[in-house]
Amino acid sequence: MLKKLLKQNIKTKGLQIKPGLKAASLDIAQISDINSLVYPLEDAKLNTYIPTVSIGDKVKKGQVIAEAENAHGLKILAALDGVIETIDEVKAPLPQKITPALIIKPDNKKYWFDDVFFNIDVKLDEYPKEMIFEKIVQANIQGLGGGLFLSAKKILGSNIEHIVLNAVECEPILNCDEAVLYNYLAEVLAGGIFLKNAAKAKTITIVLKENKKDLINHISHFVKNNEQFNGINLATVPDLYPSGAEKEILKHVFNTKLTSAQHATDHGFLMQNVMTCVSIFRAVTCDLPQLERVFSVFGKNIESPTNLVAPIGVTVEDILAFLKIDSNKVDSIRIGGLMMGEDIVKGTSRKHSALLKSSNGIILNTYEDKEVSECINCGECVKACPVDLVPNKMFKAAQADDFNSSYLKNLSECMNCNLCNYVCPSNIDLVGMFKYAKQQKAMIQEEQKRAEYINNLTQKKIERTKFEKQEKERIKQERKLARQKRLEEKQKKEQETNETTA
Amino acid sequence: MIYLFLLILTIAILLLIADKFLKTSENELVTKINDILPQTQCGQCDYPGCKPYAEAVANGEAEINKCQPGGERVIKELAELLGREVLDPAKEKKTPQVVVIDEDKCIGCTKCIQVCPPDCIIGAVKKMHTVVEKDCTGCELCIEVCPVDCIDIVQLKQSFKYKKVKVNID
Ligand code: SF4
Ligand code: SF4
Ligand code: SF4
Ligand code: SF4
Ligand code: SF4
Repeated sequence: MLKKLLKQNIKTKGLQIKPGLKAASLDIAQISDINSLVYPLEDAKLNTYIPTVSIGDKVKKGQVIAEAENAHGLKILAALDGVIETIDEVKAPLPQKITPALIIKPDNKKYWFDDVFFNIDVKLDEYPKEMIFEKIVQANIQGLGGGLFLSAKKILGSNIEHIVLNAVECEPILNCDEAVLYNYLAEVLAGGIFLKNAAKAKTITIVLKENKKDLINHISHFVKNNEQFNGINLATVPDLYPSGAEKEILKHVFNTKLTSAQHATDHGFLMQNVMTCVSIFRAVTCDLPQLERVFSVFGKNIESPTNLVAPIGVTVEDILAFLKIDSNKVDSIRIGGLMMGEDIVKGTSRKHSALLKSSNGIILNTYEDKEVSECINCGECVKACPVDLVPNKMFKAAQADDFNSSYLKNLSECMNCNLCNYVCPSNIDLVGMFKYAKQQKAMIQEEQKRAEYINNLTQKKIERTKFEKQEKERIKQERKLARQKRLEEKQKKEQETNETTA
Repeated sequence: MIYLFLLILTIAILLLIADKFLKTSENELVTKINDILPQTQCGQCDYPGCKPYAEAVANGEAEINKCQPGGERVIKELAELLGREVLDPAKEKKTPQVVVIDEDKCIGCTKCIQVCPPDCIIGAVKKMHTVVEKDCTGCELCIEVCPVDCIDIVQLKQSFKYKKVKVNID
C-alpha cells in the first residue's frame, strides 16, 4: 500500500518535444558501398586508444586494431577485411573536438550484414553462464545506448537481480531502437535471457514509452506466444523527455532512487539498450563480434529519412552517397540525438567523419546560429530540470570558476539532458558550461589525488634518505669502534711484548 | 594575599592555554595551506618544499602566488583561506611534462637520484639511469645537476574536451 502511494507521488518532470521533422521508416536498410572505415583513436567518453597495427598491415574482419590506453579493456575492432591506410595522419571529428584517426581501406567495397535470426528450436537456457560471459568479452560488447560501458563489466557488477531492457528512446524523432524491436524482437529478448542467465538475475523487464501502442501490442503478443519468453515483463514510461535516462526509468518503473554516485548495478539492476542485446545474441550464438549498429538518419529537408545498419567506422560521405543525398546540400551534421547529440566541429571533412559506436543518429541540417543574450532570471531552466538543479545559478558559479560553490555541489546529478538549454529564452549554453565544469572538477580531483600520491613518494624518499644517512653513520661508527679496538689490541700486544722482552 | 596569588595562578594558566591554542592554530593553518599545495616538492617557490613554503605563507613571509605547479587554483584557494588578495601567478603554469634520460649519454653518477623529490629515477652507481614516467612531476630539478646534460623535457599531451562557454554580454 505504502509502495503504491509513494509511486503516485513521484512527479515525472520532463517535456514533450515535437520538432517538425520526419521520422525514419521502421525498416532497416543495409549500407552497400564502403570506401573507407575511419576509427578515431579516442571515443566519446574521452578514452584514448593505441593502435596495435601498423600502416600497410592487412587486417581481418573482427581483428583488434587498437586498445584503450587507460586499460578499461576497451578495444577497437576492424569491421571489414582490409589494409591499414593511415594512422594519426588525418583528424576525425568526435563531438566537440577532432582527434587523430586510423583508416582502413576495405579489400572489397561491397558490404553485407551477417543476419542471424533466432531459431525457435534453440534452447536458450542450455547455454552455460561462463560461456555466455566469455563470448560477451570476446565480442567486445559495449552499451550502444551511449554509455559505452562494457557489458561484461556490468555483469560482473554486484548482485544483479533484475535485467532491464531499455527501449524508451526518449530522444525526439529518433527511432532506431523501435526499428530494432520490429526487426529483431526475438533476438533482443534472447539476448536479454542470455544476460539474465549470465548475471544470475531473476527478472527481465522491457521498458517502452507508453504512447507506442502498436509496438507494445506487438511485443506482448510475441512474448505470450513464445514459451521461452513467457516470463518477460513489460513496463512503460510517459512520453516525456528524458524518461529514457537510466535514473528516470529506475525512479519511475522500479521506485528506486539513485544518488549521483550510484549506478543501477548498485541496486541490483542491469540496464541494457535493446540493440546491445542483439549484439549479445549474435556473439553468444554465432561468435560474431560487435561491429555494426543501427542508427537513424534524418533532418531538415531530408525526403526519405532511414534507419540504417552499418559497420562502426563508416563515413558520413558513404552514408550520404548511399542515401543519394547531395553532400553540397548538407550544411550541418549532428551526431547523436536532437537533445543530447553534438554538432561535429565545422570544417572537418565528411570523408573523415565516422559513425561512432555511441552514435544513435546522424542528423542533418538542424544547426542554427542562435543569438545569445544575458540571463533574465526567468527561472524556466529551473522549472525544466528533471533532477531539480538550479541551472542559472550553476552557470554563474562555473563561469566564475567557483567550483567549491554550493550550487555546483550536485553537479554530478546533471545528466546533460539539455532541457535547460532547450527552454532558455536567452539561448545560453548552460549544458556546455556544465560539461566544462565537470571536466574541471574532475581535473582538480585528479590533481589532488596525484598530489597525495607524489607526497607519499616524497615522504618515503625523505625517510629513505634519513635511514641511509643513519645507516652510513652507524657503519662509520662501527668501523671507528673496530679500528679503535684493533688499535687498543695492538697497543696491548705491544705492551705485552715489551713487558716480556723487558 | 591569597586572592592575589590565585589571580596570578589563573592568569598564568590562561596564558599557558592561550599559548598552546595559538600554537596549534598556527600549526593548523600550516597544515591547511599545505593541503592546498600540490606537494610536488619541486622548490620552484624558492623554498625547499611545499611544507616550508606553507610555513612561510602562514607567518606572512611569502606571497601566495609563488607555487608554480599550483597555478591559479592554488592562488585562489590560498587567497580565500587567508583573506588575502588574489594575485597573478609569479611564474606561468607549465603544461604537464616529464623528463627522460638519454641512456647512452648517462655516466651513472647518481646525482639526479639524490635530488629527485618523488624518487622516480632508477639506477645505481656507474649504471645507466631511467625515469619512471608515471611518477615524474617534471620539476626539472634533476636537469640542473646532471654533469653531462643528458636529461630532456618531454611535453605530455592534455586531453581537454570542453572549453568554458563564452557569453558575450555587452
Ligand atoms: S541542469 Fe543538467 S539535468 Fe538539469 S536540465 Fe540542464 S542538462 Fe538537464
Ligand atoms: S532559462 Fe535562461 S534566462 Fe531563464 S533563468 Fe535559466 S539561464 Fe536565465
Ligand atoms: S613550488 Fe609549489 S609544489 Fe613546488 S615546492 Fe613550492 S609549494 Fe611545493
Ligand atoms: S625525474 Fe627530474 S623532473 Fe622528474 S620528478 Fe624527478 S627531479 Fe623532477
Ligand atoms: S645526473 Fe645525468 S649522468 Fe648522472 S646519473 Fe643522472 S642522468 Fe646519469
